[in-house]
Amino acid sequence: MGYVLLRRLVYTVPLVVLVSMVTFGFLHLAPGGPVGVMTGNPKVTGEDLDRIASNYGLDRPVPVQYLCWFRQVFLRFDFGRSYVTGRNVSSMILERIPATLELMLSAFVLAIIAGGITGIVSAVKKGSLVDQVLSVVTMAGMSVPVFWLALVAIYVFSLNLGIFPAGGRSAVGVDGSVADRIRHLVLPASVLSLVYLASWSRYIRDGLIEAFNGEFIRTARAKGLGEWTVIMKHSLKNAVLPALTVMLMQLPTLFTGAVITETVFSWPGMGRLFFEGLQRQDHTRVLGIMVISSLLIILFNLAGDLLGMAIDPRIDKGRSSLPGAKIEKRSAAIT
Amino acid sequence: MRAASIDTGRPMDGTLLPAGGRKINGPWSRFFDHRPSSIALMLIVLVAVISALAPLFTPFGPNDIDLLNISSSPSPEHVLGTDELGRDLFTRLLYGGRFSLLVSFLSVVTGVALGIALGSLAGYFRGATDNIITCMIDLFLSIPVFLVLLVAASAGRGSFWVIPLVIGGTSWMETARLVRSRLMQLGGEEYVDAARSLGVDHAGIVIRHLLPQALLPVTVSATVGFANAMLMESSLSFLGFGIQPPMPTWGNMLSNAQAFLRSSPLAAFTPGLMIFMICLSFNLVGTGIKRALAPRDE
Repeated sequence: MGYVLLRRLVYTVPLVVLVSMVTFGFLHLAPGGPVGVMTGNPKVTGEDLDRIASNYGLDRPVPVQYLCWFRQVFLRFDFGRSYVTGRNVSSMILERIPATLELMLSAFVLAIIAGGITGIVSAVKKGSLVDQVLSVVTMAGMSVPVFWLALVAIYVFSLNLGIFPAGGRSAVGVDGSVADRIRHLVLPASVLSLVYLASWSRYIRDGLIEAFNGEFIRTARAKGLGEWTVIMKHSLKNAVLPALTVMLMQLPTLFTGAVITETVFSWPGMGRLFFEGLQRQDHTRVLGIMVISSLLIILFNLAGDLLGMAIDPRIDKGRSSLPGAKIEKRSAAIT
Repeated sequence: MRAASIDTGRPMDGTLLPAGGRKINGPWSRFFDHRPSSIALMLIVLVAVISALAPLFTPFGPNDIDLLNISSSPSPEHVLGTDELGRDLFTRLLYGGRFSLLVSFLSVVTGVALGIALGSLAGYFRGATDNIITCMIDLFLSIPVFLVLLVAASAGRGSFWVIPLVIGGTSWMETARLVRSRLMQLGGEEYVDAARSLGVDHAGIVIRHLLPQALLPVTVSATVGFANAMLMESSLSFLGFGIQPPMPTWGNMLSNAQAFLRSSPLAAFTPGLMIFMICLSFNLVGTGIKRALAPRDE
């Protein structure tokens, strides 16, 4: 156990370095490169470009640039200045975090509540009509393109019914009113939560069904415990922990946001910051957000693995099973 | 109740009957017994055929503009109406289906090929090769896939061939892992040693003797992967970084939809509905195959 744990922790370090290296190289080799944004401007001559490049240190060899950037990011948490706005990327990101947290946290909470209830119901009524309907619904949640769901929601609830606003975080002028903020939050948060709910509900259902087959549940029933206690106290505890590990691995999006949903609902969060940066070829901003996302994914994957080991200490120590191989890691949903 | 001929103990059609008289179902009939999966499969085939034969079903070209009918509602001439430029929506849906299905298919092929190649290298040779490839899998699972997709697609400047490469290049991990673990299990089998002692080379052992046994789980993951590839392609195209107009795909047909949501709602709903239906169908077929292969899981 201690050995596996140590191995897993040590393994994280080269992974972080590798991910940062790949991201940096990938973005530097892309056509245009860091100053690509300025090449389109007729007033910027080749000389200007060279001068700008040398000001930013872009005339040095790429490995040297990488080392400087790595030191800057990992020792001083400084992501450099945006080539487009001239502002510090870290402060641009910090500005957007609250909006993204607000959106993602509400979506997560909604998804956990709804996914938990539907998961429990379909596990308890396994094979019934309710279970079948819910399983089609969760599969629909996994198959629906989120941008289309957002468009349909806007069409129905803002254009036709006029209940909720079509986008933005608050109406102009009434900044700060809680009711107004909630009205703006409802549509994007519900759309997002539907996507998350789909996979989580399934994990809880499958976990519960597996738990129901356990001998400890037969014992619990045999000693005369009520069905409610059996489900809520004995089975759920065993079913929830695996689902929790999966959720934990999706938590990075709490901070990095949802590119598509934020764009459609013009929500001023991290996802849109990234998207606008990409459209305007803002190299430092894109690089910064990508590195932060990767670090968070690595961190939460590690947390998920540790939680997995804590739940199930029998985790394979064999050399064929690399650290964390027990838990199915998947790329997050496209949101 | 079908009568079985008494003297042979077999029914007329030659299938074996167990004692209870029920027919033993093979995987195919188990798949088609599940109604949603079979409907889904038929739907996929139907849409694919109609899109492929698009010119037979519509008199218009995908980029023909009817200036007298801009953002029109459905009429006998334009079955689903027209979009904001006066292009026939039904026609564009058919042609969009061609490109959407093609791009998703190419992406899945790329991803599965990469996954099989890397997975068999890791599972067969083990040791250092395995460590490197497992590390690559972990690396790719540590990157924010959709952000990388967006950056790569924008660097590819909307070239048609870049999109499947990029999508395939970021979705090979599950296949690789499946193939790797299957080959690890099989590596110690005696027939592998036997083949080796007969002088079969590494490639022969992997391709002839090992990979066929990993094929079934790979098929399931490729079917589900098709749905994911289509979601990725359409999301990229929706945001303007995927397949570029005027070549229609279901994704990029939606990229202007938000601005014209009020005037031409059908132009916003139908392409998305197609994506939704096809992705749902592929997911249903995927679970159908899984169920057919391992009926005890249910």
